[in-house]
Amino acid sequence: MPLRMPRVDPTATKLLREFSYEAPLMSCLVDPTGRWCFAGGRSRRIYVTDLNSGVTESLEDHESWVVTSARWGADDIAVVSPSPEPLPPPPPPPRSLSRSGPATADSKLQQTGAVVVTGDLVGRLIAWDTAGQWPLVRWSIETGHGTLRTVAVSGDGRLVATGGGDGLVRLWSLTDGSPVRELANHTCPVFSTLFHPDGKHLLTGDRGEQTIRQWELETGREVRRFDAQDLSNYKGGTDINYGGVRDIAMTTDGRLLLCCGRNSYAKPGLILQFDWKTGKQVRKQVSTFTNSIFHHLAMHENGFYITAGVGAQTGELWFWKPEQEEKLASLKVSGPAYGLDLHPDGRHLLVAQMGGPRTYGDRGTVGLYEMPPGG
Amino acid sequence: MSVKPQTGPKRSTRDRLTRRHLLQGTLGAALGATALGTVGQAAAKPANPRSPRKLLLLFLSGGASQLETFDPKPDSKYGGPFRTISTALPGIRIGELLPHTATVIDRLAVIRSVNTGETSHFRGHYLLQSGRKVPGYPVIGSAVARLLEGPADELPGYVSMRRHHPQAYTDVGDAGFLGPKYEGVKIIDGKPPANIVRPESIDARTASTRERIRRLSDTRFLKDRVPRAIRSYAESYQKAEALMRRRDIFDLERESAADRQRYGEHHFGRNCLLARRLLESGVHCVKVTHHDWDAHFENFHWQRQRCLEFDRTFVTLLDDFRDRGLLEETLIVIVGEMGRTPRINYYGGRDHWGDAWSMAFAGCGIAPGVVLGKTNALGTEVVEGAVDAGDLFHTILAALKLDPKATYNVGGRENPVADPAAKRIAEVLV
Repeated sequence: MPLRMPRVDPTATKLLREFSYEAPLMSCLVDPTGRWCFAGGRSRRIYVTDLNSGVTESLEDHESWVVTSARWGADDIAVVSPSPEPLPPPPPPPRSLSRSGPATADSKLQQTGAVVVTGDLVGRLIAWDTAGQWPLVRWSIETGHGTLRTVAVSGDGRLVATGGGDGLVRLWSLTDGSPVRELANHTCPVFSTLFHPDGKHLLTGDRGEQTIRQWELETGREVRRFDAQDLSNYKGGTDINYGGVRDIAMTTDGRLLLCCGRNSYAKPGLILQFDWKTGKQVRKQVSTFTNSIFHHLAMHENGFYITAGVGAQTGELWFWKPEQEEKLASLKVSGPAYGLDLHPDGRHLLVAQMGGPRTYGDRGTVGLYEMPPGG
Repeated sequence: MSVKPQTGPKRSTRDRLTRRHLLQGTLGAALGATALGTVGQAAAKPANPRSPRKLLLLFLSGGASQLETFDPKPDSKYGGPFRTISTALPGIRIGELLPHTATVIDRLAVIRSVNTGETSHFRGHYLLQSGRKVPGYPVIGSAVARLLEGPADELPGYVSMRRHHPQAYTDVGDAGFLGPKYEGVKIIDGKPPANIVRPESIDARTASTRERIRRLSDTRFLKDRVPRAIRSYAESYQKAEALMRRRDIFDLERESAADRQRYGEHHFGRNCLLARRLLESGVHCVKVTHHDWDAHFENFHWQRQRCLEFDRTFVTLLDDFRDRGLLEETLIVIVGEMGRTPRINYYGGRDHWGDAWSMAFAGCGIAPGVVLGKTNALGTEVVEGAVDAGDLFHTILAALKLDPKATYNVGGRENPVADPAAKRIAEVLV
């Protein structure tokens, strides 16, 4: 696959702008055009922000906290980088961006090659077409997971995978939200999903057993299991396991499977690396970010990757190379960093953060960071 | 020691709290400390007529979130991610994590206005079970074992079930000044007390001889010593031994596979099923601890996991007790040591909160379909019908037809069974 992302220097990452929200944030995602940021958190609203003007629409389509999102863009979708300076706002949005239910003939007509899918903690999943003047709902469905924790879109734009509190993995049609298949081998909540770049497999990580399951998409069969016990995090005093496979990624060369989380109560966040061929764990990268957990992991085509972490009232970004146990760099952000997304231009990062007094968050920000050319 | 109805002046509210009552409360602890040496030597003649009623305490250890269970605030900024659902009571909604409980809420009495102000696990466990802040009093299980004690009792009056690890604060407080005879027999991981059964390699005659020698040794040892420790050991041993004579109770395989599955194949489910068998067999009070509600971290993940276990098991138990006629004679209390903060911390957790939280009753003596008390819009304060741990203790006794105003005679001094400064909650009682 040809590299589409420019050479950047992650060690010189800097904050460009910050967008403020009324709720503590837990997720953020840039749409495939690079213009719209979808942010969600401790609110039933989802916030759609025009990254150029900073204008935000606060929408009520979701029924609970939006904690997960994914995107798919056709190859011919043009990507726009955020403007360094705020631009004039776009025309007002149509009377309603919202529409519930499955895809209709009308919504199929509006379908574009740029889609964002957002999921909330009571199981609602919404697909948004984003290449128009404002994002519009393509379809909105109830996934039945109870709590929906993770969503991913396949590279060919055909399938959406969801996982959640019921331990099931479900596949849906991105076109119309109809159910395709159910994968049922996890015995505990599913917290992470990734379509393998080969287009034939899906990877799902759980919280409880700390396993990653490899599924064959064509048959729905589980073909392999990765043991991520180093992400187990048992606290004896209350018998609660704080661990779990929080996010999964593949290195760009396809050699390594990565996952993140943390491995002990009040210990730092970490990343595990597995050899894709053998399935064996080959490296553990441990941060020095005290009392933290890495919730997200974003792979850059330059070969490095970024993790976003939540610590005690703090948040940090960590930059890594797969072959080095030590970090490339780290950066403090303005609050606990629950959400992370690599802008499709490869030069910017968006970080969903919480803010507020002492240990209780009561507002949120999305930080727009730039990784300058170099490297 | 004896128990007799209180004959002093009636003081039913905290507003009437007098210096004498305060002294009584404080004295209780002192009595507890000094009475231990005499407990058991005094005549044991219960003044309460024998009640056939039983108590099942479902203790949500760690502190369940009232906002995710019985007192949701969906429109509050502290409301959390979950929705509310309608219940069998028109106009009453509870958290969506309790769908089964919602269908039987017309058989419960729910209190949404518990205000103990207590945010320590250790003190909370003691407070919610003893109805007192002053240490040294018996917890409700021990009190019930004492107050319902009868000459035909074969099994221990109080059995407490929990998981082996962690113990944490689950064993805080017990019989207090009532002494070891009324301590709860601990059932760990659903297993009968260990090392009681005669090994196969020892024949019955040898075992009998060994037991006779053990008793003789105890008697001789007691002659010149303060007997408390020895008596404690002997009484604990006897209670465990009595339970072991009925170890068939612990054999859940005697229940149908369908029933075991309905109750749930997890600790809580198995312990609830065992609790039913123990209560049916004559135990007066069983406490089942449901662990791990202490969700300082990712509360919404953990409350969901806990509710998944609790919800179905509880309703199965409630139906089973009703179908067997047990509910008419059993009081079921659902309570923890505290609630959880309305505010949500950075880790997605709710912390300890004692000022406004919820609990529920079902079964004998309880007025079904009552939802008592109200908290403010954020859920931070009780605005109507505040009750505290002492009131809950009175209410449990009243539902069991036991006199909350009775006194224990401990070392020649009268000590109130329930805190005289508290009162029963009349609205939830029939």
